[in-house]
Amino acid sequence: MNCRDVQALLSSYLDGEVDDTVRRSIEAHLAGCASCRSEFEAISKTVRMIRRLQDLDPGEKPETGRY
Amino acid sequence: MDALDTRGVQVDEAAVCWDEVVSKHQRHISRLAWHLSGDLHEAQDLTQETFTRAFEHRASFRGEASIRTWLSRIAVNTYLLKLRRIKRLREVTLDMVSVADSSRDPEQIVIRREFYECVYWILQNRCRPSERVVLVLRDLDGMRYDEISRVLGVSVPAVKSRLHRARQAFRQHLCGSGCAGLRPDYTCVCEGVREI
Repeated sequence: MNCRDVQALLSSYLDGEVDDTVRRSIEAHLAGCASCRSEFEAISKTVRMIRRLQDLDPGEKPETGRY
Repeated sequence: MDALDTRGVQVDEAAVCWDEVVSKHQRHISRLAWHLSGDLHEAQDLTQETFTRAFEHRASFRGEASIRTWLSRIAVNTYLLKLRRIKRLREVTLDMVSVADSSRDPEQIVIRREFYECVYWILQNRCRPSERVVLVLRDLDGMRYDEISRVLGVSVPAVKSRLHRARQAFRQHLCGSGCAGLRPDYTCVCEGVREI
């Protein structure tokens, strides 16, 4: 796998939606590629940010607001 | 009632069973509708319309997917239909949102609110509807890829591709949003983001 192949699969890899063979190939690539590790960290961070919105609940007007 | 989950709604006992379906799935559909629409009142309308359409078409439910997946599909389709009808982008605010916040430090609360507003605003105002839908289903609703494929009526590989593109787009929107702390290299000095 080259960097392009790996980066296209990082989102699915993060979600555990790749099979074991692909997972091992991605992990082997990540171990030796700083650029793809950085990309994986960025995607992971993006997903963590989005998932934080699960904390929100429809409800009362907040005390502050920018928009 | 278990028969509903595996065999679908029996028309001859619909009145009784339907109340149970609504009762069991209303909270989930309401949250999904709210994440999709970004507006409490629209979410209520969308939820109502989802259950109305589902009831009208209950005979078409064949139990190939769970009722939750079936209802989610109706909610998403109803949402997209409404968007096409409206054909406009709204300014979404957090006016109808409360944040569960255990911190007693006012400064931390403000920082956290800014983080939520930043991310939420991008999801509602910068992401395209197709991006928003797949992000909401996976990252906020927690659906598996095969469930999303049933909701959207596309293959699992297509879900993988769409989700990957949507997350990349979200990231680009975030970097280009003017967020004071976010730099192009995706490092951030905003304490609200740093804490994740």
